[in-house]
This record gives sequence, structure tokens and C-alpha cells, in this order.
Amino acid sequence: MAEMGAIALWISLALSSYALLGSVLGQVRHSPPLVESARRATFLLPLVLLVATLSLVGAFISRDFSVAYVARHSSLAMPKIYTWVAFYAGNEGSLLFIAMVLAAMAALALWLAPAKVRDTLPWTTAALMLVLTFFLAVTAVMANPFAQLPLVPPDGDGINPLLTHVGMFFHPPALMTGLVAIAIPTSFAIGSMIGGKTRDEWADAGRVWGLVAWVLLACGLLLGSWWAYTILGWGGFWFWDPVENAALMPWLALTAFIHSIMVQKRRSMFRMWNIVLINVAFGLALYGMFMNRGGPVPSVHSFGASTLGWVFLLFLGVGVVVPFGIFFWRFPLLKSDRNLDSMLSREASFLMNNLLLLSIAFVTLWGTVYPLISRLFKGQEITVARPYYDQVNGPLMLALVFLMGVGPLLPWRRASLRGLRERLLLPVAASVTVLALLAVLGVREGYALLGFGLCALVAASILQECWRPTRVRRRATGEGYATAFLRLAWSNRPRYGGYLVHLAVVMMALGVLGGSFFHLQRDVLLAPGQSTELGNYRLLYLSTEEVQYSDRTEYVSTVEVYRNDRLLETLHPWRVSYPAAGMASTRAAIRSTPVEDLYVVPSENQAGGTVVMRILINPLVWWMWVAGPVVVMGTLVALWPQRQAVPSRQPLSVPPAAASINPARPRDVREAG
Amino acid sequence: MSQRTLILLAVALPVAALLGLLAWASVQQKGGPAGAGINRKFGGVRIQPGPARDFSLTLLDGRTLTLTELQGKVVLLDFWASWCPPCREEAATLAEVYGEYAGQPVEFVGVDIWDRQEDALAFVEQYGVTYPSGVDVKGSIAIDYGVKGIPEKFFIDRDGVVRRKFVGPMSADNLRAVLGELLNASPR
Repeated sequence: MAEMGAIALWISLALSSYALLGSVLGQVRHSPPLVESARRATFLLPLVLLVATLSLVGAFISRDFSVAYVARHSSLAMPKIYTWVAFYAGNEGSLLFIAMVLAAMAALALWLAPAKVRDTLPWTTAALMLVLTFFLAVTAVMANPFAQLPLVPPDGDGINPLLTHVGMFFHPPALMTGLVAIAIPTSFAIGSMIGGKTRDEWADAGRVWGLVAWVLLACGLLLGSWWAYTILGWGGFWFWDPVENAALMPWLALTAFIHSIMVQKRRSMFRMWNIVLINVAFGLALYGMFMNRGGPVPSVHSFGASTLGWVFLLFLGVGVVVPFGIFFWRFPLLKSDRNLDSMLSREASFLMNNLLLLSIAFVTLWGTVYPLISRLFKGQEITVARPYYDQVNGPLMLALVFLMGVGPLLPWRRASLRGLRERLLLPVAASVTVLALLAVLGVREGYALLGFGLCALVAASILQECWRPTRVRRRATGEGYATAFLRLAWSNRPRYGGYLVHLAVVMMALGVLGGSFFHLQRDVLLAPGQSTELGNYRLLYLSTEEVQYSDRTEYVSTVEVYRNDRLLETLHPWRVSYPAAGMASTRAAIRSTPVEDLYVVPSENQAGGTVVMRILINPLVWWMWVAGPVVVMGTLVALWPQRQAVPSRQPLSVPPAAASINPARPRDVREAG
Repeated sequence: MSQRTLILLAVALPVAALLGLLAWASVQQKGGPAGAGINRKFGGVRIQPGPARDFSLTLLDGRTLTLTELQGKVVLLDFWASWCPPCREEAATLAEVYGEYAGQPVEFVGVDIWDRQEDALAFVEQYGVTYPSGVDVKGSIAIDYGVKGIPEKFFIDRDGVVRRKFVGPMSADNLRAVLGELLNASPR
């Protein structure tokens, strides 16, 4: 079984090297058959890697402890369902996983590539295969998951108990896939630059795959937060840990990219800027992988001692220098057709959004490398913690939310102040109303007030942008409101998908504001039968049941929650200790409502059933987790293929101020943005 | 300078600096740029002082120690493990400094995490550790104190407030300085 996997791994390394060399040589020597054969090799790769993947899965399922990786990450006691998690629990398996998904996505991207990029596709193939060959070579040579142990142990070490959570089924794969998926839009950009097709040929493919990577990273980040919230028992969801940051930074750069690529698609502007952005996103993704696999900053996420750090550092260097090198080589070809018409326009607002996003990414990067800088200059490692990020990134994020409310109201090219005033009226009124209401209710936190006011602004401006064109369309066509809205949205999916995602961001902002500014916390020692109060709740602790398993002891507590002496719910928070691994994990019991979460987690079980409980009330956090599916839905809407028959760019023949006010007009129905 | 050169410099210089920094930091972590879970470098970490979470720890000799018992003393809470090289490196220093404070209101507590009882006993014997130490089997103390790696130390003052946190091994002078500071801060 394992031998088959090892062989498949080596074959795939040979295939990817062949596809890399074949594409380059075929292109240099003008040999179409060679290029074609290299292209076919890329389609074969996912199949061969599937064999390798399945044979590792098989080794896990059959408990083949002669395979070192299986012995290290599973045990007889481990439920088989965790095979999926154990597969990528260590360096070796996770690298194989990354290679597998990269090969699959690369094949898909090359197969679906639009006709516009066909000429430069061999260069794109070469770039993708270079990345894949790197991962495969590292996997095969330095971290082979199929390596055998000289003696077969009777049982394995078991899986890290912190990973046995449903969030772990999706969080790591989503992040790994998202990070490596950035290679695809980057490769399209590189391909078009080497091939000298530096107009906007790559913009469509770049946007689609940029969105794919973006949504995967977004899901990965949210799931990671959710995992931390429910299992780590700290009651928070974001810790500015170096590796969290490492995944956040490329996501920020990608967020900038998927906005500004729209400007290139529609207006043939920002050509250089988009290439810089995608290169930055790719570089940050490689930086994240480096940090994760032996970076010099300790973090709870690291994969454990490994010598891979050097290799990934080298790859980071190559991955930054080569794309930027090509960019400077092709610099003269990358001039945009137009310049900004006005600072008060959709384009300019996208540029502002880009600068804010990159600032946040930079602030975060500075925070993660600051310990190293302080070590270099002061000889003392100073870890930068939460207050730094909150103080610096907080205002930047609020500015971003503001822009999210105003940007979509601006037309392309140039806005008239009068038109803008008209369209801002309702959102600003909504925002002021919410502010006044909150102030009357006694909210005095300046930051929080500002935040909620901005959320209202964005929500109102989105609703207005849905409502006005729907009304126009209804008048013009006589359709019902619902039909008119759905047809309108469907005819302009990128724009309305984007709005849906913006709404989800508002929901997340609500969760962040509620959880950061209004949470209540209490740590109490409770004996059975004792009760405690927090907020409007009274919690009655009944008992703790101790259940012994072969590998762990579970302590399941029963807590009744009352409000006004009415029983609301019975909660069962629990705590598990794994003596063999010397670890413990907790599972908070959360009574979650849209208004607030009541969060109960036992932090210590003492003799006689006495327990130390941490109790939190986290207002509005529910909205963060609901935002996840909305983000996915919005992205799917935005990604859903538009019919290619209609040319994607049209001359601007109508006055720009009207451009997005009357989407019922034929030319505006297709407007994207 | 042309626009191209300017942009080239604007990209190349920070990138080179960042890569250089990462390479330098990796070189510093001898034995490969790894070290997950093990804090290799000394450093004070700025923290918000707050009341220390109480805990009870079963010591290697079988007794049970709770933090409240130590109220009125300056407590050094050291998170360590027998397999961790930097912990081994500083074990003798800790034992030595502990000896110097005999008779003063100072107590050291070794909290051994991610470890086995027999390895812990061997370690304590080898390095002559005389202060109370025990294995945090459930890992609950480590979680309560937000330990990210070892060695990690918390200094608790005589009123039971966590004042200082240090990551990585500490020198004898550093230990004396911090202990002295906390002793002088709240003399009784």
C-alpha cells in the first residue's frame, strides 16, 4: 500500500518536472507537440497524486504503523473518521495534500482557461508546474509521508486531541488550499507578462481564481476563529497569533486584488497595480507557509520542529524575486490605457480600498516581524500583542467599512457632488438614526458607536442600491418586486454577489464590535448546587459526570441557565484530559442567539465535583458565524459564469453619473462592479 | 531616476530587508529554523498585570500545592518540560538562584507540561531541583496562563498579582533583578 503511494509520489514529481521543462522548451523552440504533451502531463498529475493520497489514507485506515507518518499521527484508539484530519496533521501529509489540491486546481484552471490567454498558457503552465514541482520535491525528498519505520510499533502515538473537532475537518484544508490557490492567478499574470500579452487578457482568469482563493481563505479564517471560540476555551475568536496573521495578510492583499481587477476588466486601468497586488498576495502566502513550517517566530500553530524552514525561506525568496523580476522586465509594456478621471469615482474608491487593505496587511506584517527586529536592535525579543493591532488596525478597518458604504454609490469615471449627496442621504440618515438610538440606549463607547453607525451606513446603502434599480425595473417591465429584484441581481452577478459579501462583512463587524466592546466575563468556583449570576442570567451548577475512556477522561458538567427564574436551557460544557498526550481540551457550551452568546467553559475540575467555570456574555457574536455561509453564497453568485457571447467591456456612451443609477437600461444591466 | 527604477527600489529594498531579517533570525535559531513549542530566546513580554489564577498541582513527591498557600510570597511560576533543551540549559541556574533566596519570602514552582512523570523525576534529580515541581497532567494550568511554548515564566508578587512574564531561559542576574524588584515593591 505505502510502496504504491511512494512510487506514485515519485512519478508525479517526474511528471511535473516534465510539464515544466516541456512547456518552457516547447515555447522557446516553437514546438507545439512538446507544449501539448506538457499540457497533457498536467492533466495526468491529479490522477497520479490521487493514487498517492489514497494509499496514505489506506495506510491510516488499515492502521499500518510501519509507515512512520501513520504511527506518529494516529493510534488504534483513534476513531477512523479522524483519518481525514490525521492526514494533514503533520508536515509530510499536509505537503502531500497541498500538492494534490494544487495539481487538481492547476489542471482545472488550464482546462477552463479562456481563449484570450491561450497564447500565453504554456508560460502559465510553466509557472504553475514550478510551484508544484517545488512542493513535490520537498515532499518526496525531505518529508516523505511514506517513509517506513525499521520496527513496526504495536500502536501509534495518536492524534493531537486539539484537532479532534469538526472545525478541524475544514479549517486547515481550506486555508492550505486557499494559500496555494493564489499561485493560479499569479501564474496567469506571469504567463501573460512573459508572453508579452500585457493588455487585459489575463484579467478574467485572474479574477475568477483570485475569488476562488479569496473565498477559501475567508472560510479557513472564519472556521479557524470558530474553532478557537468553541474549543480553546478562551472565549475569544481572534488572537493576532503570528500564523493567524500569516493567513490574514494574503487574504487582505487578495481582497484588494479582487476589487482592483474589476477596474482593469472594465476600464483597462491599474494594469501594473494588479500585477503588483497579486505578486504581493503570492509573496505573503509563501511567507505564511514559511512561518507555518519552521519560521523563526514561535506560535501555537507551528508544525513542530522541522528543518524545512530553510527550504521554504528559499522558496519565499524565489517566489518574490522572480515574479517581480518579470514585472520589471515587462514594465514598459504595462502602461494603462487611461488615467484616473477624478478622485471622486468608483476607480478612485477602489484605489483607496486597496491602500487601506495593504496598510492593514503591512501593519500586521510589521507586528509579526517586530519580535525579530527588536531582537536584532535591542537584543530582547518583544512580542507585539493585541493592543498594538487593535489600536492601529482598528481605525483602518473602520475606514474600510466607511468606504464599503460609499464606494458602491460612486459611478465609474466621475461622480457629481450633487448626485452623490442625493444617494448618500438615506444611508447617512440611517446611520445617524442608529447612532442616536444607541446613544439614547446608553452606549458610550466612542469606537463602538462609530462602528455601529458605519455598519448602518453600509447596510442602508446596499439596501438602497438593491431597492432603487428594482423599482425602476418594476416600472419598466411590470414585474413584481421579487421577480424584478432577482432578475436584476442575476443579470449583474458580480455586483450583487459583491453586495451580499459586503452584507456579510457588516455582520462580521457586528460580531467583532459586540465581542470586543461589550462582553462580560466572570471566573467562578462552583460546588454542585451553587449558582452564580452574570448579566441577566443565573447559572445553576448541578454536577459533573466523569467518564473514562481508553485514551481520555471526560468531565461533562451540567449547568442550568435561568433568566427571571425561568429555565432557559440546560448546558453541558465539558473538559477532556488525555493523560497519554499530557493534554487537555475543553468544549464550551454556548447558548447562542442573535442578541448574545452565553458562553460557559469549565477551566478546571476539582475533587468533589467542584469546578472552576469561566462564563462570558458575548453580544452579537452569532452574526460572525452566520456571515460565513453568506460570504460563500455571495462569492458563488459573483463567480457564476456570465455568458461570454456579450463583449465584456462596452463604450461609455451614456453620461457617467447615470451609469449605475438605472440598471434597467440595457447597457447597465450587464454592469459589473 | 525613472519611474521604473523608483518602483524597483521601493519593492526591492524592503523585500531584501525582510528576507535578510528572516534569514538572520533563522540562523540565530541554531539547529534549523524550527523550535515550535520551545521558546529559545530570552525576552520580557509586556503583559497587563492581573490576579494570578489559582491552581492546584500534584507535586512529584505526591503532595498537593495550591497557589493560595503561597500568598504573601513572591512566586516564580516556571513552565518547563524534561525534553526541552533550553529548560535543561537553565535548570542549574534556577536551582542555584532558588538556593540564594532561602529564608526569604520567595517560592519557585515548576509546572511541567506535555511530559511524563518518570522523565520529570529524572530531570529534577539530575539538576538538583529542590523547589516544588509537578506535572500539569491536564494541561489546565498552562491553558489558564496562556502558555504558548516553554520555557515560560510568570512572576507573581506578594499580593497574588502576575507582574512579569518572560519567554525563554533567563540568566541568573536577570532572575535576581526581577525577584529583587518584586520583593522591594511590596515589602512587609
